[in-house]
Amino acid sequence: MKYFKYINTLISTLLLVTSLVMPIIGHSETAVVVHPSNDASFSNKDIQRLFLGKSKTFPGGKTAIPIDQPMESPIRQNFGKSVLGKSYLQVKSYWARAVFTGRGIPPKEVNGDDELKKLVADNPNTIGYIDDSMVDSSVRVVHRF
Amino acid sequence: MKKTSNIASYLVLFLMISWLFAASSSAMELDSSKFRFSGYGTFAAGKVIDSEPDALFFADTPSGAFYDDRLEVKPETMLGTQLDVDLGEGLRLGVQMTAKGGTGFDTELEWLYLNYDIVPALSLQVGRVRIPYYHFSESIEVGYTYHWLRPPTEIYISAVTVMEGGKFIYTTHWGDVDIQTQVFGGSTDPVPAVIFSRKFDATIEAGLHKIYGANLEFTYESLSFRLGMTHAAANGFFQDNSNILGGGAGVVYPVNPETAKDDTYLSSLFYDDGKFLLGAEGWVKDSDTGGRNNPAISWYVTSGYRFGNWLPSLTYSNWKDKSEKAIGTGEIDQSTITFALRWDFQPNAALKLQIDNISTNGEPSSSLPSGLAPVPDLQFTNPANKAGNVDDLTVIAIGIDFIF
Repeated sequence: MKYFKYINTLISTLLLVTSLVMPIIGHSETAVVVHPSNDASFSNKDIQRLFLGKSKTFPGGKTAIPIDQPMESPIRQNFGKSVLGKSYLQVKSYWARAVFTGRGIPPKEVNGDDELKKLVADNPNTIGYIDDSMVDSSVRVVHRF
Repeated sequence: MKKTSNIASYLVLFLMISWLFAASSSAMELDSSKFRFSGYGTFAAGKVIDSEPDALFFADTPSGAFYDDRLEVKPETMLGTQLDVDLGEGLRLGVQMTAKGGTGFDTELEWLYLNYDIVPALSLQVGRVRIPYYHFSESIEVGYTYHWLRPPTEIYISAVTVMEGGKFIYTTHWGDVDIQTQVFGGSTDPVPAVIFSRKFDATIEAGLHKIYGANLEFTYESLSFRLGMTHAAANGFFQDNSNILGGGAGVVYPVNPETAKDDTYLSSLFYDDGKFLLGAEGWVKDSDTGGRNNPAISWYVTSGYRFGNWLPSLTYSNWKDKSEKAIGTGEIDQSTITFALRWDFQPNAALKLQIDNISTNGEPSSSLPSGLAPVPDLQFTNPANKAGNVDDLTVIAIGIDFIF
């Protein structure tokens, strides 16, 4: 019985360590970023509406220009699942329906984190998302996932 | 549909509007980022595989293109291209051209509209726009956006799909529920009603002298619910080539928009969480053609489940009416069971297989000669020689829907 107690303690410790370490080595966080002058606060739903074209202004009322990562990039697919609540194919279908019914145009796509960060740092109306490790003082983080 | 001969005038209008707004807006630069070119299409082939000899399946209502016992490619094959021009200051111009196999791949102007964002939540679209009758009406030609190769024909039956007019689109939210409202109005010129013309050996043209309506769509997470109503006053004519109405062969009966009215009330409910798909849609129609009351009800339920990039689904659809038709009293009761399989083999393209089994259980029109009797099937099955009825038919089609 004593051995069982040691084994239980060992397994519990291993599980605890694994659960703490895995998120760090598994994948890094993504940061939703805006221009530093944009002091609006954003809920997940606010971000979802902006990137699905259901809202065209920031919570404070200023015109918003969402900027997307490349459609097939892992960060875009993770954004789709975590923030938009849609699979990659659902997002494709959603925008096809919006474009060909005249209801909207999908956000502009850029080539990656560097280009997106530069656009957001230069334009107070933009919003995008980049790998958290890329964040610096040129942008303001409003949400992490 | 406007034919190629009208395209030049639309293009001139399109270019004039582009120039007008380019010139009037000093803030706007017509660089390449202001233009967006995109498109969609379907390559499909199908045939009737189980029915009486000479049975037809009308796969495309507006053109009347049909499948029979030979493999046909034209009825559902089509290509659409779209140009969106951002004119600045909340203005956007859209033009969409299509070429459809059902009409011999003639180039047609599908849309030409100007979209203006009055305020961020409210926009106005004016021009030649698609009529937002039902859940998929505005995107019905973009097969990539749904799981079937062809939506249930009992619901998506309209020969007139595009109007000259406008619509207001208002987007808001209530808590976590997104709400979109459309209020629309317009009219169309009469177009040939190909299927009915063929069915009744007549020359029929039908249009909408006036159409207006509204719809509301609520979206919460994976759930969307839509309510809508449409009022339409019809115009056009019925030329009785074989004297089935008894007034003489070749007599033309005009459709009076004061008495030929059509009110449709619609609701739809869809759930799609990326794995499980469940949907239902139905409408009730209260029509009046020259003092004859023609109520009808149509609905479907559909369900599917995604296994990776594969989406098999089953759909049951039905149309039922009991009406005083223009050619006597009759009843249509048509049902379709549809198996559809969608495979997203590429991010921009889906391969689809669809098998429809259609059956009818109605009463033939009371005033037709028994040898003619094209009712009770709706408008999808009809022997080429008009010598009898088809009460059961199976059609298979395979195709690729794509966007670019």
